Amino acid sequence: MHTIYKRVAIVSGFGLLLLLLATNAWIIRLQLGVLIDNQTGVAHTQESLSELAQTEALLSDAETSQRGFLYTGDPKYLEPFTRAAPLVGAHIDILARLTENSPHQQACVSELRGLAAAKLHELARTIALYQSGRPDEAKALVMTDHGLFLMMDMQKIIGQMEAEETAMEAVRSTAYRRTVRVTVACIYLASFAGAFGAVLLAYFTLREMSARQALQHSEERLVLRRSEDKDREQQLQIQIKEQFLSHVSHELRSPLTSIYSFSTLIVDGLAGEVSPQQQEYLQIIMRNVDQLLSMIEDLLEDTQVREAKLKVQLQAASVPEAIEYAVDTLRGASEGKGVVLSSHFSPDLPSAYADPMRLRQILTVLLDNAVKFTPPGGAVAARGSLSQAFPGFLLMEVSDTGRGIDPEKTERIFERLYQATDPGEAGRRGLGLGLHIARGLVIRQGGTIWVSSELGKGSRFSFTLPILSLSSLIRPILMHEEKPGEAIALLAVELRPREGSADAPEDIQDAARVLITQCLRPDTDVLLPHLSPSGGQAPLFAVAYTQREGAEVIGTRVQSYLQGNEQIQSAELTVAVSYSFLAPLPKEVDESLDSFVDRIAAGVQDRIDIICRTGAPQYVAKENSGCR
Amino acid sequence: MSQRKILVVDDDPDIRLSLHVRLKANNYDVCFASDGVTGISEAQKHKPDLIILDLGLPAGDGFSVLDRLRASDNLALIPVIVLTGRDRTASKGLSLKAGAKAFLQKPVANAQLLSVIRQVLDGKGYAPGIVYDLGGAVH
Repeated sequence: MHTIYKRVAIVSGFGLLLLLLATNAWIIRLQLGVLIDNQTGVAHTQESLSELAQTEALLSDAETSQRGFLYTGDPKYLEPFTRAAPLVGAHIDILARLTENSPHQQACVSELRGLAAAKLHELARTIALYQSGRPDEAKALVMTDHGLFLMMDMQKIIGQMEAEETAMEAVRSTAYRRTVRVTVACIYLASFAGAFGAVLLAYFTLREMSARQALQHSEERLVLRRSEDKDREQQLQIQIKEQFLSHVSHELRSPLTSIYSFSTLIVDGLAGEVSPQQQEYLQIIMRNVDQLLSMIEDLLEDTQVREAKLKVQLQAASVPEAIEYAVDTLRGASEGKGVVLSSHFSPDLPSAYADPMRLRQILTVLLDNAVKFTPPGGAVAARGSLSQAFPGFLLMEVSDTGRGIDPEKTERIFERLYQATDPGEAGRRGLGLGLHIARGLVIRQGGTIWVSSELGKGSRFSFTLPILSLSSLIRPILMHEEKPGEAIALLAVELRPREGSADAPEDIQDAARVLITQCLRPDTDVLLPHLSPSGGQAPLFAVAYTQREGAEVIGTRVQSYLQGNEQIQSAELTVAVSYSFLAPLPKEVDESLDSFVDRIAAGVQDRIDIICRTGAPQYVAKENSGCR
Repeated sequence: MSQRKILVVDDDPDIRLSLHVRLKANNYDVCFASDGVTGISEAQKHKPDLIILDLGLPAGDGFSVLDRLRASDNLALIPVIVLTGRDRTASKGLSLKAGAKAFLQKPVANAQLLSVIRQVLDGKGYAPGIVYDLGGAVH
């Protein structure tokens, strides 16, 4: 409502301003009319005065001419008279017209006309008398002073009229000056009022606009804040849940520890002799303690799986190493149970593109599961091989000679909290989270997991993980858009320590990776992981499917991002970014995507090998000039 | 050979009792403290060869005990094994950073506990900062 009032006020402000300006224009127009009238009046007066002066001059010329003639008899003196006589009438006519608005002046004019006519008549008679040979009569007529009186009367009237006209002129010029002043004042006033009003209106309008904008912004901010609040709330809830779980886990551990400790004291005979039956029962207690413990572990892991918070750092991961680790972890348990544990893999298996820690974790879960469900005397085997069914993937298998899984249930076994029914000899086996967590981890790393089983003969859990290969890494960007003729650029980023100082620490390398990723476009560029597990100090490489200019832009951005990074600055590292283009490698029309990808990958690999082999000095010299 | 002396600092009497029996049975001389302050004073009094330290303690938690031990002239060299029920992801690094020789999570397998104690006492293989993540694996 408030805003509406303000808007109405502003609109009416504009209206008022317009009205003011229009009124002003009207007043000025009126004033100009008055001015024009005034000027006409002044001109009129001046004309009248001039006419009066001319009339007087003509009559006086005529008289002078008559005197001259009478005195000399020379007719040439008559010339001014003959010229003046008709003109006097014409001038008086003009005067009559000029003064037609003033009755008094009109009366004067008609009197003047009579007097002029009489004077001219008197002059004409004397001239006629003289010409007809009666000069004495003519002179006598002059001597009557009749003409002189006429002349004096005329001069009196003319003087009177002149005085009137002059008075009128004075009035008119006063009025004229006043009008001019009023007009100028009006113009000033209008200009000031207009300017002031305009400024005022502009101010209010802008204020209102910014107020509305601010309102809009604050609304947007409110929406943003709400979503932020929501996020924070969720974060908080997650945090609370985590704290709760951590707390629960701690609190559960304490009594469990006591149960375990005292049971083992009894088992070990430190509290007196133990009968075989007590011994057996104590083992049951111990097994249950064990189960409770792994449940607590799983509970914590599972929350992270569900919140997709499991950190997975994809890099080169060695499958043989992971298998060895998991087998070692489970060795104690399997030996205690009398289960034979074996591992099978070829040592030259390529690296997986996975998180080594997570790979170990998956294998441990599967092995633990297998050992649990395999009766004494059975065998559990872990295998690593190239997947035949999924080219480009590694296949990990954990098989056992346990009692197997009902085929109907193989699908459900990875479900969260799924419990194979029939708590048989393995007893209760936890919360049913282990396999669920394993599946989450496999999927997060781009693989698949499944189980095949035969009741009574055993189960085989299998999962795949992608082989770390250039082809698989660059395939997505090449698949994304097939634009023949575009270039493949290889960016090499090197963080060079100052001479004599240590190599760039790994956390800085990680920070650099994050920064570089921010510079890349997700669809067309890819930052390569370390291609060999021991590639610590090699340059970081990124492949961009782009135009030449695109690679330049990325190169410049990477350089400035990295150079601006505080960590890198404080570690005194030199950032060296170079990029080189692979020879144009357009996809041939009939070429399959696979062979295209492989061809590009081979080219990129060659280039990487060259850069790594050529060594730093040459390499730096090359890219210091910017790029190639 | 004289018995090696171990100081157990833990507020849980059950843990103290079970460790007492277990360690005695393995020929160690054991003394106890149930909070951080007593822990330091007992260490001063007995000059143990090894301290087994819980993190959650009244009157100064395990970290403050570690700090005070490190700051003390005559106690700084006594090796400490942290034995706690706390989440290891959060506490392990902190403990080792604070000077503990090893980190064990409760409940710890007896064989593992004894083996770590032996190795720490022998000063073999237990360089500070190495993580002995044996918690949660009781078999």
